Amino acid sequence: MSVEKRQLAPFIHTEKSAPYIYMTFLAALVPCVVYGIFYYGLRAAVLIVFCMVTFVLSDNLCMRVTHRRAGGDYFDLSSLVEGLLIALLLPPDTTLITALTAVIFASVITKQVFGGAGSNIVNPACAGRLFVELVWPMGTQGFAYGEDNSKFALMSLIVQKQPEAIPSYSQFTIPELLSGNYPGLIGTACFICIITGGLFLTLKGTIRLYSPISYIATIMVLYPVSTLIKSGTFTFDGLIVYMLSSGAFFVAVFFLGDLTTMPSRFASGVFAGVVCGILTLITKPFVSPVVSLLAPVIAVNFLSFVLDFFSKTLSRRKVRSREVDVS
Amino acid sequence: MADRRLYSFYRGLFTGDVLNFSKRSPFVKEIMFERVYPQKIILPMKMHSGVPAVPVVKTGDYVRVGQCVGIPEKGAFSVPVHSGVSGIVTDISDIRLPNGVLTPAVTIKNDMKRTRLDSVRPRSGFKLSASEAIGVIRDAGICGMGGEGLPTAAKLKRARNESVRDFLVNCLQSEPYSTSDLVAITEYPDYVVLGSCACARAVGASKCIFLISENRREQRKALSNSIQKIKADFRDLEIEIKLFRERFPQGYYRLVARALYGKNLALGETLENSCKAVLFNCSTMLACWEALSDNIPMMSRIVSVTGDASGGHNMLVPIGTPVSELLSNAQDIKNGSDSIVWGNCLTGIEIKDPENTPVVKTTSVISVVRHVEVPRTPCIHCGLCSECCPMNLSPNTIFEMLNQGLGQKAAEEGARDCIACGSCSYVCPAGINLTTAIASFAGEGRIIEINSLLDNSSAEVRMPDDTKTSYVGEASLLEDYADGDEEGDIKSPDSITLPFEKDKRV
Repeated sequence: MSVEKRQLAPFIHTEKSAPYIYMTFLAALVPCVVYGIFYYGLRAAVLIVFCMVTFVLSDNLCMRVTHRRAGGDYFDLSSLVEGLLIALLLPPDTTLITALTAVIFASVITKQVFGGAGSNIVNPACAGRLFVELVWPMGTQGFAYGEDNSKFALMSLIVQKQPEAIPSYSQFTIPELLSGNYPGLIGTACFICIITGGLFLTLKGTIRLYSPISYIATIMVLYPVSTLIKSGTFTFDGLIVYMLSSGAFFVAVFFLGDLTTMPSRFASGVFAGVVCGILTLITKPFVSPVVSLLAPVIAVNFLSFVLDFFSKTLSRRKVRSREVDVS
Repeated sequence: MADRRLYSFYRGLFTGDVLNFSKRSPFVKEIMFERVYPQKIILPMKMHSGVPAVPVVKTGDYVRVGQCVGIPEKGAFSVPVHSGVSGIVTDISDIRLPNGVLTPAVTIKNDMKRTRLDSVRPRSGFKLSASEAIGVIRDAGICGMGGEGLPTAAKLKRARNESVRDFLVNCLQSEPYSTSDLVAITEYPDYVVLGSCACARAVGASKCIFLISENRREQRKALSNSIQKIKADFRDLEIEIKLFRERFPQGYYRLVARALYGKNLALGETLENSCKAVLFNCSTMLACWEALSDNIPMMSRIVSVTGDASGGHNMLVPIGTPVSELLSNAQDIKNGSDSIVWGNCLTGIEIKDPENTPVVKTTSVISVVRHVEVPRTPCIHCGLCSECCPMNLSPNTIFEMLNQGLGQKAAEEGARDCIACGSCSYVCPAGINLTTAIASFAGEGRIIEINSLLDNSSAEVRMPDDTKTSYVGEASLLEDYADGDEEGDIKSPDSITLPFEKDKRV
């Protein structure tokens, strides 16, 4: 019998390789990108390309410096996905320097320090965007809209404009909110594009739905409670406007559905979604909308390993009881 | 008859995912059936769980179809080996099987005359006691044909001693591409049902349950028709068909216990003990009925020759047929890079020498798989492996622990529960071979061949003194497997009879 080296089982493999998963995320984000560029014009396109390119460069530079990968046997599409997500979470009139800050924080601090693609504890795009929101709040308020929203204006990429007050979202109609025809972040405005991307990911099987569904359900159920605490009346008014305009669906699909940073088990996934929803509603009155949206995601990212561990332990009924000295 | 409830364990791979190879090749899971008469057969003396049989023929001897060429040593946990062809013994030497087992093997050159032993003919009278029936099955050399390889007689005996209630027949074949069991049901449904009912009566079970996938309509229909036909002869038995969801791996006894009885069996617990049930493969039951009714020993079996680089068909071949003989009849191995796999393509072993690798009693499928480069990346901690692990493990965590040398921690994480099904490696987007690492660890201290779903957990404590180290793990049934039969039991006027009278013993 031959003793030469043989291939080991299994001899077949799923088509869902890591590059495939990142590719599906890129494809799912295409509608949001197209809509962002269509609505906000050239500056949105430049921001998107800039974020993606700088994220790839930053990742590669870090890997070269740390000698993590000598050969580079595949192109890391995760950098493109993270760069794109950061860009879509920025307002259209954001300067390149702000975007660069977000990208470098996301790439170096939250991704490469922990070991690169897949080893990060929190979502890099989410952390990067939250970082610039917290340290540079004025830099992320560039919402030109209406007649000021020139599709070919590029100056806002260089010079920070004076922040403009966003009108109340309740003045927009439901069709406008559904189609994203209101001032907002580049990628989070159009509900239809986000849901299209979510459906695509679901069909491709590269998203976990436990957390997104429980997150959305939690917000929908608890929103009237938050209005009760705030105004003393139990009402569903404003729920739809909040859901469509806040970017909650974008967070649900592209951050809470993430395979790497969210819990992998059913119970822990649902729990994480519920916690994220509750934290979002609790922090909403006190902090800026973006912080109330993204900070809970970071919190559950930190929790995901612990949640998975407990979910697994409970499911195996291996909870160890402590020995208590009753004497 | 069949209830509407669908049984399944949680997790595992959905076969819609596993069997969907249409993107890789235009493979159709077709069932073609043909017979093969090889030029020569190589009969290893160890094709089962247990110690090898001892060759009883010499080089130059003439053997006939059905002749015993290897007998178990007295008192050994083993089964005899029979020739499926007639011809001259040309060689008796040690060979190493792909799973690493070194065993004596008898090579017989086929004279193509198919001269049969006189004793291989339908049994006259047909009145057997339970012990006699089990004795016939033992002498026929039947062992678990689903891959387990445990001597069927020993398993039947244990089931009888444990007073099992349910006799389960595994008609689920969830392995990708593999259809040999399905062919056995389609071609010989009466034999499968009769064999199951006869064995169920032999072990004293009150219920005979056929477990079959919801998608196998043709096989379900065949089974239902056969059950209707023989129902009158087995009035004492409640015969049922239970539908299972199509998943992989379906059919491993711990998963069946979870799906059917809602019990999580710990390592070492048996289905007989915990659920009062015993599980057999449908091909084994077919072989049992052949032995009981026609006195045919286990000398041939149905093998699927399949895979995405193969035509996809089934063959009835004498045991010991070289793999190359199977492949020569089909449009297989289109180019040199295709792998020939001894077993199914999720858990099998690649073979490089098909001329000298025989089909053994536990080989249900030979896969020819197109080689595909899997993009290898670092682990992205996606958790897809834990999502699909049928034993509810976290393969990525265990793999990292093993890489860091934390064996104790890995064992606490449940690494010993691994059944080597290959699901985690199949789904891993990073292309990491998790199964091999974890299954090797799980197999330390007990025999667990990488290609088998065999659990030999109780091996270490029950290892008999006279068995060699390489055979540990296969002696868990030895206590009740004494050589020779219980004479008193046969002669007792109250002994049960098969197949027409129920146990009368008080």
